[in-house]
Amino acid sequence: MRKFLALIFFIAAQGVFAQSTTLLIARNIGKKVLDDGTEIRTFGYATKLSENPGIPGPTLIYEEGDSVKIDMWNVSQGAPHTIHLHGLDVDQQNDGVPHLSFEVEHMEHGYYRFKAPHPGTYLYHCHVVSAIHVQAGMYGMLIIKPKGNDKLTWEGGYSFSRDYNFLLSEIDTNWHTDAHLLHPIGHVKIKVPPYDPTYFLVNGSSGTQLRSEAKKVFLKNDNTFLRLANIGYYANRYIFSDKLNASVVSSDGRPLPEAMVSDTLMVFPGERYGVLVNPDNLGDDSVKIEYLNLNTLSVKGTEYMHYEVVEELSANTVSPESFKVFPNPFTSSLRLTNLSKESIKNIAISTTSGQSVYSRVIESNSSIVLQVEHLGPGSYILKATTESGNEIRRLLHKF
Amino acid sequence: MRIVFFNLVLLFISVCVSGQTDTVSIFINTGQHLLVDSSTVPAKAFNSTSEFKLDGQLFRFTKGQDVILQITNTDTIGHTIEISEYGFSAFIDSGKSVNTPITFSSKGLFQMYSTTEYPNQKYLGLSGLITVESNWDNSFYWNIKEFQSSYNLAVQNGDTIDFANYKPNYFLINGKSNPDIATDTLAKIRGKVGDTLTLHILNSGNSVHSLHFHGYHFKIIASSRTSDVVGWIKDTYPVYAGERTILQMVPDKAGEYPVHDHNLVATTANNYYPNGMFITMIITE
Ligand SMILES: [Cu+2]
Ligand SMILES: [Cu+2]
Repeated sequence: MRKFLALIFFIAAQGVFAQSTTLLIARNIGKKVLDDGTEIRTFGYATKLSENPGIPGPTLIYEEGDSVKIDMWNVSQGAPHTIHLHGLDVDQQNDGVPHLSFEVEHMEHGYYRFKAPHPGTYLYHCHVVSAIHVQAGMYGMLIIKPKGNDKLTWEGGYSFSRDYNFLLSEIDTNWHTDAHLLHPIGHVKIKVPPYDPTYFLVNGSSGTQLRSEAKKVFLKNDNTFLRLANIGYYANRYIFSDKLNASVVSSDGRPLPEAMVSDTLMVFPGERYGVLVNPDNLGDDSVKIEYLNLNTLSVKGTEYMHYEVVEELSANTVSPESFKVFPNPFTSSLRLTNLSKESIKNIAISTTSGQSVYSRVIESNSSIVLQVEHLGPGSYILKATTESGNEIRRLLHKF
Repeated sequence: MRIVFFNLVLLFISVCVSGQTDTVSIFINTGQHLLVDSSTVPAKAFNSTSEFKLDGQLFRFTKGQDVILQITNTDTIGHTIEISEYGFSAFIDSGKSVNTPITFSSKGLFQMYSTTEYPNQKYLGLSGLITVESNWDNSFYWNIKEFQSSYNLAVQNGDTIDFANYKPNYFLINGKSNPDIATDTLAKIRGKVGDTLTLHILNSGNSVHSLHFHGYHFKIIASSRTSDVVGWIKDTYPVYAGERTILQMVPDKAGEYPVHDHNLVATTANNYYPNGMFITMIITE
């Protein structure tokens, strides 16, 4: 009986968190057209049989606490494949290293299960003959967002209005020949060619491909969160304009003890960084990204990430004003009144530098009172999230 | 009067010898280093005997220890050996021995290396680890480097090499690659859930090695390159050429997990996978 109750409790406790199954189909007949029109064969993960497996693979997004199940189906008529959940510190069975957990043969399914840990930026990639399968294209980004608020870096962290992900890698076309891709199977030594990449990718694109993509949009005087990850075999050096006021706030799925203000950032193979930009100038510019050989630290490729800085609160502001906040200045509590029909889903308060100090999911919109006695004197920004966007109020805390 | 003075001097010397000052022998050796694919390259190493062995080259001292380093050079060329943080420098001619006193006054991880034909003699292997600690429990040591076998031959033959064109083909932890490294007790991380495990790393090579840990995050305790990263919690850490770093982790679960260079080219040996910078850690309940 006690066991039965414990089981019910266990099921109930699991039920609090979202369950999701993600299907990834491992293929080895991918095609990729490079910047100059060169077409190469790739390996990769697709979500449908009819889909070309892209480089990178789909970005997997989960919420902190989710019980995640990834169903990897190998439809490749070739080598076994796995999924290594890079940085997620999963148990050995789910770690995706073939000789230490399991590998998934052609037409088999492999199931990877884990509880989504710390919010942050992670990677997934095949760990079978990893030097070849990763270069072949079997990788993607995996993002864990804090529970109930996807515009926050982590609970108690920084709020942002926009976010962009950058997964960087390189392509050496010599590695994409059948002679190298279709390597012998089994526990044998596999020959790889010398590594001399000539295409430098940002989310799978380079050169004119990147220039033809829509510019990233950053809001003036507002935080935009950039998730940077390197799955290549070179280092990436980001050079930010000083007008972006870039600060590095997290790495490898953990907050940094202190944010680090820096206009350049090196990201080495397997590393991930969270960077907040908060531009104070309008206009177009770009982030320069250099790709460095790890043996010489010489720059072998350069790409640009183009962006424009626009005024804050343009199209996606709720209008007209859908609520009032009083008192302002405040001391220990805040009340939201004159609520319009559009219901508020979430309220977040941050300092003017973006540090989150209060966050609450709103269930009932009849009367909203926020207990904020823990806040010290200073200016704050309250952000209410509704179906159609965000509405922002500046608040002042008095002595 | 003279006799009394002489006796006092004798007494002083005997106190030093018996109480505090130890003589530690270090040999500069040269030989053929056996690689994972059974090929060999000329290399050099610091060893505690005159037998050549390119391994972790670890020498342990305790804080405050006064020692006389007796360095014997069995190589055919002279070497200047330095431990920069201690201001230690000694020239030892070919075939000679030199005794130099040193006090290991501060804790930490240090590099002892040859500045001769810098960085070529260091590149060949004359880059050892000095650890100054009071307790070595749960401590592991990695002296990581890479070789381009043609460069080893060139340095040995007195030919010039240019690190601007460096294309290493062997990637080593304590002189070994996967799977041979698994038997190196200095390098092989073994521990229990809840233990505090400390990994001391010196990159004595010329490339950056971006080490990725499966299974656990670690805390960066120290880095000789920058204090910016101290206290960061990460799963991947790029160890720059010449950098010394100390990483600490407390495993929360049992398992066997890899640690490897995530520049996956470095998981190969002479272009064959998987014989590079790859090792597993074994954590038990
Ligand atoms: Cu694979
Ligand atoms: Cu990885």
